[in-house]
This record gives sequence, structure tokens and C-alpha cells, in this order.
Amino acid sequence: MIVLGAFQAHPLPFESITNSMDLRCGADQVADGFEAALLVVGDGDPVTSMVDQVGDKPFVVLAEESRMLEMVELGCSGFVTWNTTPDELVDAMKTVLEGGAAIPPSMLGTLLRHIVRRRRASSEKPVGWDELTDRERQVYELASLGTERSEIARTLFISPDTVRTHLQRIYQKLGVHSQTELMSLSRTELVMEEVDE
Amino acid sequence: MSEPLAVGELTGRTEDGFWLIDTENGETRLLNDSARAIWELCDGTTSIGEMAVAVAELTGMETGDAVEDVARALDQLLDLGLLR
Repeated sequence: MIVLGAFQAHPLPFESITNSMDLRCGADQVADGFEAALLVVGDGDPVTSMVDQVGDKPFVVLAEESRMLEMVELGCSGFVTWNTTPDELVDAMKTVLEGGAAIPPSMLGTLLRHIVRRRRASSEKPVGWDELTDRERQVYELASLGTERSEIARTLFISPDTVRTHLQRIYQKLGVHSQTELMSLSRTELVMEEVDE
Repeated sequence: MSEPLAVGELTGRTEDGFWLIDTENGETRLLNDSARAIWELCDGTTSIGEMAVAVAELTGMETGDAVEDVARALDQLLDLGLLR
């Protein structure tokens, strides 16, 4: 049986959850050997300390919709609101246990915009960026993600030869000689992880 | 050159997705949650690369796959007249 840890300062809104999973409920309680956690978060709850107790295990947060971004930043793998049905909560927990992410579909757009804003705030543009044209910047962004030339061409509705021409100009302006070298210029965490591999 | 810009307004939600109305010709369209999320990213300043990185981070998928998925979604939105 999957053992879940549950940290809650408030009663779960539906009894059937405890019939579906082996939840060990109660504030500040941690079940031995738990594989995932459900945090039930209300106003004023000590969320950070709750997250600390979870450690490196995946967790789902049940909270008001307005707290979704805050919880994502704290590392939750799943988020559900008080309107969630028992079945939806069980599905979210299963998804997280399998290593996936469970976010209400209606909140995907909000979350994606947040991720874009955060990455923009933390990214550094390479020396020579200001010399690139708008099209070259589009090609650079895709190439720096490791995207193949043919895919860049399809995505931007241009020919592979045109992509090659843009890349040559980009290499010249940024002082690099290959796509791999270009990828190493990117300071985004994701790209750095790819380069490290 | 600008990045993709969404056209239309959200008018409501059903079990199958979201209704949008094309404000230029009055036609209504039904988008699923994923398509709506991409459509919402199209603010005229967000590049396809930025969208793909965000999708990859959120879903855990490979960035290259995310680029293909985002490009496909943008194609469909363009065909529906919901981008310019």
C-alpha cells in the first residue's frame, strides 16, 4: 500500500479520501516511509515549515486558488483547490506519485505566464545580443534549446537554408562557432542542465 | 517582427473547454485547456522558445518535444484565426 503523509491544520473536506488512500492525518504528523504528502493549507498556516517536513518527497497542496503560484514556488508537484472532488484529488496524488505534475487545467495559462516571467527575470543575455535582429533572436532562442535546424525551420516558417544563414550570422555576432557553443551561452537553468548532460 | 498575438476574448467555460469569440468576425471557437493555455501566452512579446521552455519546465517533457508541441498548437490557433 502506498503510504502518504498528510499535514493538515484543517479537516479534509471529504471523508472518502481516507478510504482511497492510507492517509496519516493530523497536524505536524509524518507517517514513516511515506512516498508523497498532501498539505492542506489555510490562511496563516506555517507553509514553509510544513514543506520542510516533507523533505524531498513530492507533495500536493490543497488550498485557495489564489495561492497556487506561491505553492508552486515552494516546490509542490500538484495543486488542488477546495472545489476539487475526491476523485480529482486521488488522481492528483497518483500523478505526483508517478513523478508527474498535477495542476488544474484551467490554471495552466496562469502558471505558464508565471514561469515565463520568472525565467526572463533570471536570464542573462549573451554579449552581442543587442546586435541580433528580431529574427536572429528567434532563431537563437530555439537553437540555444538544442532544437534541430529542420525543426527551427518548421517552427518559424522558413527554409533550413535560411536557418543556416541566420545561424552563421548569429555565430559571428556572438563570437561562437557551433550550436553547442551557442547553447553554452544561455544562462537558463534548463539549458545548463542539458549542457551538463 | 512581433511574436504571436492572441485574437479574441474568452466568453465562458464548458466541460469540454473554453469558448472564445473572434472579435474580428464574431465567430465562436471552443478550445481545450492546453490550447487555451498556449493562446493565453500569446501576448505579442513571448517567443516560441520561451513558451516551449515554460511548457517543458511545467510538464517535465524534453525541450525539443515541447518546441514541437507548442509549434503545432500555434499552427492550429493560427488556422482558427485566433492569432496574428
